Amino acid sequence: MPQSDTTGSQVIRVAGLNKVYSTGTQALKDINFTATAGETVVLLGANGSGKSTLQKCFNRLVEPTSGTVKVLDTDVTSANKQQLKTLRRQVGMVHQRINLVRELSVLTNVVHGALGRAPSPRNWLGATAKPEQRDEAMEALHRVGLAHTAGKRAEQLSGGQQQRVAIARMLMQRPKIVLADEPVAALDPHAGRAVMDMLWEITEEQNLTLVCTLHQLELARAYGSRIVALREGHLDIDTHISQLADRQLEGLYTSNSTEQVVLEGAGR
Amino acid sequence: MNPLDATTTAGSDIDQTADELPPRFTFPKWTSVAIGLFLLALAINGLIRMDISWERMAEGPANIWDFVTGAFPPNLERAPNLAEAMLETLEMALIGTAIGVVLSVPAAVLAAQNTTPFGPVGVAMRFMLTVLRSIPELVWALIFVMAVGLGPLAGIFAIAVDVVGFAGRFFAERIEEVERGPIDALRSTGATGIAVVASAVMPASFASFTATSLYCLEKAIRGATILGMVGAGGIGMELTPAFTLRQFDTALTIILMILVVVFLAEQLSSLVRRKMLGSDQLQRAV
Ligand SMILES: Nc1ncnc2c1ncn2[C@@H]1O[C@H](COP(=O)(O)OP(=O)(O)OP(=O)(O)O)[C@@H](O)[C@H]1O
Ligand SMILES: [Mg+2]
Repeated sequence: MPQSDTTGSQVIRVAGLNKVYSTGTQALKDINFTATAGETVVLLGANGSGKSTLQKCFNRLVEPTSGTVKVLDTDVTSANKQQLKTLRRQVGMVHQRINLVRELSVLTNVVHGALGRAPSPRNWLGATAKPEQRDEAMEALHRVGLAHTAGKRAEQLSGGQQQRVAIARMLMQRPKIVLADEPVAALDPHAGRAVMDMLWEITEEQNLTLVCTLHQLELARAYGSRIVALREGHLDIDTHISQLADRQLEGLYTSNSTEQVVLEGAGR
Repeated sequence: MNPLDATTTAGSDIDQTADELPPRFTFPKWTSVAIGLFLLALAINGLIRMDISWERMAEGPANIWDFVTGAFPPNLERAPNLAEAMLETLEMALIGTAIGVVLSVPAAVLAAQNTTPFGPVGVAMRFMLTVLRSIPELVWALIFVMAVGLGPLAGIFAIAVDVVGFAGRFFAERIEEVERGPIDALRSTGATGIAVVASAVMPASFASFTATSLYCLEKAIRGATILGMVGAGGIGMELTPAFTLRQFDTALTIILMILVVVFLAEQLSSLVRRKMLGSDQLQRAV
């Protein structure tokens, strides 16, 4: 595995970032944020506060409206197609909605993680993939404990298993930065802990930068060190977990908007 | 003011229009009324212009009776020849559909708004598909008979073009319905556009593409049976002379053959579709 030699330097630099969707929703308002290599950031915030949008701005799956985003020394906002591909290859993403290609086998889905760095058409399918990629994909599946499902169609797996396959796909990418959007939302408490352990272990051992969205405050307490919290698109809190009172954390989810309170109440 | 306010019982918060119960009935928009009237006028005009001749209409049943009595029993004398023509029809349909479907896939990728490499290319492609679709298959057959001469080759081309117009559009619509998520997931690995299309868009569309292709084949077989009437090969070449020479018994044999073949094609295509969908989808859900 390639070791990052940029420890201590800033790998994500966001300044004055705004995002207004075409529907008129302003999802992000003047976000300033940096992360250094090897750092682990837990991103918190109520539903709709803009966490997913922020993460997608890092690799321009969402086009920023204004502001600058620099990731791994690439100016994301002005990068051309080729630069963007090179950047995306180094930024692994675990999506909130898992986003496997349901019709394809688990193995194929994991092999797809390599498409950025090994773009051979053979890697479009697990069956035709090069032996290196097939072996590596099996290894990644082993790591998440799902090697026995390699031949199944992705849609036949349970939600939690699919989430772990998505993590395997991310591993296959050999990223320098990992963006995980609620990676354990679909998992039972035990599996959730196992996946969190795995993510933290991998990022630690390979010195990766991790930006992880969470909704469970206990997990944030257990795993988080630096906490960044969004509230209605603003960056509300950016501090170490030990500096945060429970009340402050809870406060993130009780905004003035009545709708929010009702929603949160129903969720309990 | 809104006339419905009079029926609102909660008189205190009339201002909160957002919370109002929607009315049970609203008058159609004047545009809908205008379109309806226009269509009605067109139909009435047509009936007047047709200048229906009642005497000729009265002769209809007798003529049909002639046909029925002349047609039974069906004449099987020329059955081997007809069977060969039928086989040619089937082959034309199969080859034409195959060519059409293969061309439809790239055409659809270029046409679909979410996969087109460049906006104007998509617009141009969609326009081209519309043109292909708007010209009837029989007209294409005439054009290709002119271009490559009488025979099944013209029929194959006509079918292929018709299939591209039809399948290209449906494939493109299916592609536009493909979930954003898996596409984004592959884009976020740094994969190229072609790789994303091949590994996320195509797998998600494959079942629908197959179903559409089978339907195209069915439609092509139905269409191919008459292409021969304009000289583009197949059993249609036999049908026109049978009628003009009043060999109704031969005509009936041809019609029965077409019936059987189209029926079998439909059965086969629904069988394949069943197999493709898997047991899960076809279990009673309601
Ligand atoms: N594709 C989109 N088009 C329009 N508006 C969007 C889109 N995606 C998100 N939004 C809006 O942007 C805001 C932020 O959404 P986002 O998905 O970033 O929230 P989130 O913090 O990830 O929420 P959750 O905890 O529910 O995942 C929301 O108001 C949402 O309605
Ligand atoms: Mg989200």
